[in-house]
Amino acid sequence: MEIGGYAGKILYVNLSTPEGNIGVRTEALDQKVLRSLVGGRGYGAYLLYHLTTPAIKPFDSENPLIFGTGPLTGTPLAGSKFVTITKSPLTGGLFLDSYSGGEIAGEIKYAGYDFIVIQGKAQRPSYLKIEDDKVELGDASLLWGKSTMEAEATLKKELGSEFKILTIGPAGENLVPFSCLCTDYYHQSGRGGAGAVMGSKNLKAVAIKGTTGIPIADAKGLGDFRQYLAERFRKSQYGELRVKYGTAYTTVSVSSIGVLPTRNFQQGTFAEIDKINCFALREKIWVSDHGCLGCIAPCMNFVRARKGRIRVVGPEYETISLLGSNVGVDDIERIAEFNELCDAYGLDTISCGNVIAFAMECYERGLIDKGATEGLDLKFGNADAVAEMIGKIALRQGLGALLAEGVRKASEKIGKGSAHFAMHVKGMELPGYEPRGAFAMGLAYATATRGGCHRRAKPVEIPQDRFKYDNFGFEGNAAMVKKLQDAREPIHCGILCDALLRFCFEAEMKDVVQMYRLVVGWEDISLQEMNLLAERVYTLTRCFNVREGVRRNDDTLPPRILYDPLPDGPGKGKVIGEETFNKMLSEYYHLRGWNPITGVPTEETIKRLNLQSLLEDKK
Amino acid sequence: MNKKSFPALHTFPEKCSGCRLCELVCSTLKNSDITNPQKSRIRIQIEHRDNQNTPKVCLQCVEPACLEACAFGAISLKGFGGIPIVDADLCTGCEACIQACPYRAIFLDSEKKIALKCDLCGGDPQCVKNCLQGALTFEENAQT
Repeated sequence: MEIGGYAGKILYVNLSTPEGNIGVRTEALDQKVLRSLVGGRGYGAYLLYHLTTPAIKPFDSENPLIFGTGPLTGTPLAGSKFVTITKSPLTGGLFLDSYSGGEIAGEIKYAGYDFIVIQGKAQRPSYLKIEDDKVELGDASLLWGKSTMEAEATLKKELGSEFKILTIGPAGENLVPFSCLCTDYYHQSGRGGAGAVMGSKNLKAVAIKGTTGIPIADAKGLGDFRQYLAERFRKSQYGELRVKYGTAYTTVSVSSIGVLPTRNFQQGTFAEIDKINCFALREKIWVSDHGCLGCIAPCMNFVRARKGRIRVVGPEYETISLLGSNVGVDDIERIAEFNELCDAYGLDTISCGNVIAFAMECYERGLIDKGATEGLDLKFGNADAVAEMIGKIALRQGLGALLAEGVRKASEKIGKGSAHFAMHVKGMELPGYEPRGAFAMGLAYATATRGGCHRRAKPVEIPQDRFKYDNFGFEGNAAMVKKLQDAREPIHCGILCDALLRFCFEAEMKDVVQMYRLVVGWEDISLQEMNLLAERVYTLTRCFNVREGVRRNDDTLPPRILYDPLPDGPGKGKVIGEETFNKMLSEYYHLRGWNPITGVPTEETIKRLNLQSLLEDKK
Repeated sequence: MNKKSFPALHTFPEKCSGCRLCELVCSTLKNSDITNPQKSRIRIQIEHRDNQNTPKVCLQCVEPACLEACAFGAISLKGFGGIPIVDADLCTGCEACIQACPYRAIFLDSEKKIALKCDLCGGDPQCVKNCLQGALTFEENAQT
């Protein structure tokens, strides 16, 4: 390829052909599409859109499992990530993009691919081995049932330490719809159940090693730019805290504004927060820093807990909140233990924390009894019970089998009004921000493409001098959410770590434009084009969901969030309510150019974003 | 007379985060603006389970085993401050120097069949500049 950044091709692997003869072909990236969708989430959404129909269900062998990178991945710029794109089993087939760090992000590119598309189903438990253009299927019968860590260690030993390994755990094998992918032991594509899609293909692991390089359009310029970014980021107050405490620092800010999910979102503050916050983590269990490939501000914490028995990178903020305050556990060492357990079984800590908290509330309200819990005293704060439930969910044992379906389905089965406190949007359990203490967060959850997710926009504690918005009302919230979502798109197409966004948002989008100029060599790329790209990709993923049947009434919030007042914190007594929520949503649709009644992107919008040809049937 | 020591990189594994930015920067700079960690002259050996990250890079030995081992005269003391460097034109990729290095700090460019050895970027090592963790430092002044 003449331009920088890209490997230039897509690898298609079909696991369904007769044994030993997997179908392998490569295809060049479509130059006509490239500039309009760039890579990662954008180009990947385009691939998923055309490789599926609404008739294809998440666990059908036709559902592709797409590993995507972007032109910035693996370059000397900032932390690299890769994305897994597929139909989500958690949301019933809606668009899923799940990002992860780890060395494999760069290795996909070094092996010569921008995307790897896996379809079909292997006849028996297998692993995929990719060494540049050599693609083979290996027997994984002996790895099946093993933890992600054991599987990775075994494959590293067998294939050599230069291979980067991506695995699923028992949860993925058992098709738990919130099972994750795991790489470098501690990096996860956590959300939405990509692990189960991989499990449904009988694929335990992917091992990649590459020797190809990625050309950089202006390496000298990129070097200077990287140093400027790194300096600015690390010398900012936010950057310093980020490096020292990582995402765990969020415990401080969310507690101060009262949006820390506590006991299944019954409260927004946790009295014992000092025992599980970033300071407790740093003081009691921190060992060393860990960074993703190419990171300029390594934010991950390697910790040892419970007398050294527990080793994990984490717990990240979401794990601390969902498997800490949200289940009423006030011990950072136990949270680290839950983290390691979830990683080993291959479970998303956010969804897992939610389903356990949901079950605890059901138990305390008498909706499920000790018969159902097999004698387990499933009260909030019972750490032993949490640890036991994690294993039961992954292995679908006892009550775990019910909870393994996620809170939406579990509440449908339990009934008795439990749907009121089943904390999900579109089937995806909510992360660690209580929307009643920051109303815009509710809109962000309702409009995130993959469901209840905080990684498309996180409008909490946004300084009022950046955006004029009403934290407990509707004014300004829609515009802010849209802008925050749009700011993330070019990073998710890149693909770099979106922690960068903290300062990219402060510097508007001009830094991101500069990245593409220096790496790819698109000299003429403008801020306007970048903004248009962001809108195009967001609406493209919406079009995917619309094709799957999503309409305005799906863009909603759990009843507890919508109707109940928050009992504590600065947002005490606040109710979002239908009126305010609907005003925010209508304004949001208006700004996006989606039909205000249906939530479907209008024809004018499709035209304005040049999406017609991209959505046309290619056959 | 005391033995001289050459200018060299010093590594602090306990500070290394395993981000490998040094590898990405080194390989891009020394490989015609193409990022390829397989061509880096510094490598981070990573043991993920315990987050142990060990930088592997030439220590610029005063009595270099690599120089001794090279049968083609491709390694000479003509680098910055007198450090041993590889002449790509003379190197045959025989790997004798790689085998001889007690620190496993010389690597092979398997495509071009050339030994990859740190040359301190002529006195301004870019990996050090980019290691924000402080896991790499540069001791510029040769001691006597």
